[in-house]
Amino acid sequence: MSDAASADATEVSQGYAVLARCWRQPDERLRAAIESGELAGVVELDTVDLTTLRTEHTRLFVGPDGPPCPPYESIYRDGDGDAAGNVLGPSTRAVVDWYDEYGLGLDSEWSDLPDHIATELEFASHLSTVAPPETCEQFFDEHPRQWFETFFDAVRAETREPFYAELADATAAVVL
Amino acid sequence: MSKRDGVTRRSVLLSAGAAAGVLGIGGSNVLQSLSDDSEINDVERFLQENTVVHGYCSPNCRGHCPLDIHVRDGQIRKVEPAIPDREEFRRACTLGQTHLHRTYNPNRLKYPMKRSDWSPENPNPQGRGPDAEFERIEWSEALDYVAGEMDRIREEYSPESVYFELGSGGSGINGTVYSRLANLFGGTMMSWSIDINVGLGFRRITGAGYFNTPTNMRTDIKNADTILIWGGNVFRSRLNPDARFLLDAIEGGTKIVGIDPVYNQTTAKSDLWLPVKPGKDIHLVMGMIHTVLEEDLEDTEFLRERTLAPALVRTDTGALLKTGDVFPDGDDETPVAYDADAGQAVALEPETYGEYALRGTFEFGGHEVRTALTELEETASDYAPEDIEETIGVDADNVRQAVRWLATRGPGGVMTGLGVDRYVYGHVFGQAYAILLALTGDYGRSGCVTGGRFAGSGYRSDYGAVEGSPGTRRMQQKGILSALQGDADPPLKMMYTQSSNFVANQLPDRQQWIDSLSNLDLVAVADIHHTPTVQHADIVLPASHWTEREDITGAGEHPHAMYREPVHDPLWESKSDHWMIAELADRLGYGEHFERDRTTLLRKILEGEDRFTFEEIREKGTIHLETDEIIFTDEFNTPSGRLEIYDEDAPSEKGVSLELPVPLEDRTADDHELADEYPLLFMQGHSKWRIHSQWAENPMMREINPEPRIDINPQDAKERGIEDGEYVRVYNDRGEMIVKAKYNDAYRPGHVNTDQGWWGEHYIAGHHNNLTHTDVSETIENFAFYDTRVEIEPAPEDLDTSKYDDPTETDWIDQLQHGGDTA
Repeated sequence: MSDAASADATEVSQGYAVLARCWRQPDERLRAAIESGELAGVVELDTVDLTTLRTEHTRLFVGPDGPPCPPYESIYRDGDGDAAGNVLGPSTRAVVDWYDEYGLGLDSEWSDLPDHIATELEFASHLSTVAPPETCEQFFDEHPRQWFETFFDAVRAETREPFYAELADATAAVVL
Repeated sequence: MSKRDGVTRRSVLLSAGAAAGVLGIGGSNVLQSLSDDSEINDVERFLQENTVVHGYCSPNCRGHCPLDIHVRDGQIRKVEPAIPDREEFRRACTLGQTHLHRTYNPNRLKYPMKRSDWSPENPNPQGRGPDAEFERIEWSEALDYVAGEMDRIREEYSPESVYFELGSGGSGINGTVYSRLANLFGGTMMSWSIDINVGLGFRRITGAGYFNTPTNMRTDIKNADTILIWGGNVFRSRLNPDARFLLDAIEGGTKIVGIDPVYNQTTAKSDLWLPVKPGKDIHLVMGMIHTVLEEDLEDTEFLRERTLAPALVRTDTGALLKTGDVFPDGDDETPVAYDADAGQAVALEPETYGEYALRGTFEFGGHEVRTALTELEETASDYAPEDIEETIGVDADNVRQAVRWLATRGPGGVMTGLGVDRYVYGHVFGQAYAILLALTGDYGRSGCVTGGRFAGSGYRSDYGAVEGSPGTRRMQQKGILSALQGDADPPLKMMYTQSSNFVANQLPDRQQWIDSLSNLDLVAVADIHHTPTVQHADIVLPASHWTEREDITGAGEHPHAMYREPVHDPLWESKSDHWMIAELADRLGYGEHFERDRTTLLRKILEGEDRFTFEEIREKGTIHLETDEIIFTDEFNTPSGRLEIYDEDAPSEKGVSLELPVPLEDRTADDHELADEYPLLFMQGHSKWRIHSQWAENPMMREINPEPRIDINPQDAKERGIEDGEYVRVYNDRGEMIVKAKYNDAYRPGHVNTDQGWWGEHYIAGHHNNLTHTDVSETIENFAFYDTRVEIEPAPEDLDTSKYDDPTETDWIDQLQHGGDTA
């Protein structure tokens, strides 16, 4: 059993949730969290320009050009050989089954795909409060650990903003 | 960092958790995208369904193929040709069957975006292009920007300063709704400068033709005894819609004459190949006309009944003699013929047979007159096949053989491609071959082939512009370019582009178009994928894929109306164009004219249709609509009601009046001023791996067709020191492109080809449309893509070709067998 499991369950859960939040579109709150130092355990930056951060988020994960670091599990797992997979592949289906098992589904207002890195981390956050550590480990083994490392390598290689390189390192420390 | 280092994990989590408060993640409220609410998200709901839904394909392809979309677990798993109401039109090509890979392509446009350095106050047009960066924004923000700029530009300039560019990338109701808004707003829209050359030339003779030339339904092809397939590679670029009907004909004994500068998949299946030199098509038709008349092969009964062949032409003015010139009660419209039986001049009425003299010189009303056929015969006399052999590159015997088959074996004709259309004077070819078929009587019967656009159907609808709309300013694309460059009153100041990849990829002299965008304050582009044009946008509007839109369409070239059921809701935040337009209409004050519910709108659009109901088409997917299989059976839509083989209202080109066809050439002329500097004629054929620039990014298609190349005859290549497979620089006075040379004997020396549709990013450098030009004829503003000269040299030594030959960047190519199109 890892030490994390014995930490205060709420704090651990919030840790995953914060990481999840950091992988989504940056907003004013994220900027404030960075600049106030409250995110220091994840990224240490004195100032950050929100437009720059949002532009970088869009470039890395959204488009309009085929994003260099698509944040979806199926891309990394469901292609033939080394080729990139399409979205909504078998691994997407499998992660949705996990959510379903714990009575969760994508929020009806949510427009992104179920195997987005942020949603998988968010599920980990929830799981850490309702399931034993072995189950959390099983989820990590079946999903995040299957693709996060490749994804993080792509982020580290592609990003022009220290925020995302540091976020990749911090998330790797938690999951891998 | 070591894996599963518990201490590190814990400390990172705990310190990350410290930011929960400021990020609004309080207590146990860790869920944002997930919910335990009983309301299920659409993405998950569609992960549960198994069904087959009606679909159809929507690019600017002439196939309009009905599709069966197989859905398992709520997702497309397979796409197959659907069997339509009329079964013989069952088909679908490789492209149509890859919609799975288009719909779930990770590179789709997902969210509205704004160019980071664009704002209404400072549009910063120089920020557009390859290095532009974007920021995801909310739909409301994106639409506010677009509507705000439309309003501002309307006030500051004029509503006509807003360019609504509707491309051909998605047939369905999106264009109907889009035009409705453009008409209400009073903006500028484009008319085509592409594919209308041969059609409009043909129209002068027959009264019909615009996009290419009309002909009988495809099901009638098998009844033709001889078909001249002219300037179109049916077994490549029209493989799916046309080829199997042609194969039925071949199996049934139809003689096929392939007329094409290139030895290709179609000429290979022909009984006879006439390898006409590029741009010499009009000479060849004149040689055929000469042959018909010299060998007395013309259909005299048809000529007397349905054409102006017997019409008398005044030798002094070149005008047709009119009944008013001859009879006291005559008019100045009805032409006159000489009735040999009656020994007198008579009015030449439509669809009327008489013993009219077809040849001869006469005198009536003090005017010397000759029959139109005699005029034609004289004009064609300079083009005996033996005399033009060297000019056109075709053996005279073969020209005569083709003509004899066409004139004597029974019904047949000319199946046109759009190759000849892409030369400056392609319209004269349309005129000339229309006359050839008049001589052989190949109109209005089963087995006649009068062109390349086959009879088909659409649904009837009264839904269009709102009554009282100010309407749009229309400009042909050539004029749009001037207006984008500021040379119009009022000038264009913004564009909203839908279903179009024109400005940055598909138009000739591409750099001019891209440069012209610097005059615009806003470029808004709605598309499914990241096309080169999207890269030049200030506001990117992600459109849903066809499979996600409920829709109806007319098949155009087969006799059906078709319905499409959406497989699931649009992925991410993509939306139908209809939704975007209705949202814009709301903001502009036109909301009342736009139905928001898709199904209600489709019902409304079909209100004028009395042959079937919405319920019927939704149930069946396709509805067969009774359509005439044979066209041109009645009076022709011309002033005389006859085929006007002599066109007295003819336009002029280069000072040459075209009452009768005269071979004219632009850059293909052997003595053209650019011929020494740029000796190679450059064509851009249509591949079967794309429809225009669609599918260019499709990974399945790129496996087969990984990179652009130039087909070059080995002789031309060796003269220039170019090895097979080597990168070359293709250039002229406008621009360049770097592509691989492909030795290809199918292209004659002096003629080279790169398939059109490739995107800018697929080239090592440059683009095929950096080489093409916007020169058009005086008569018809039709872009002449193939009327282009280039020179080729080995590519520079220091070229970065890692895009294609660096194995780390080309894993996806190297794993695959290369094959496919080798002709």
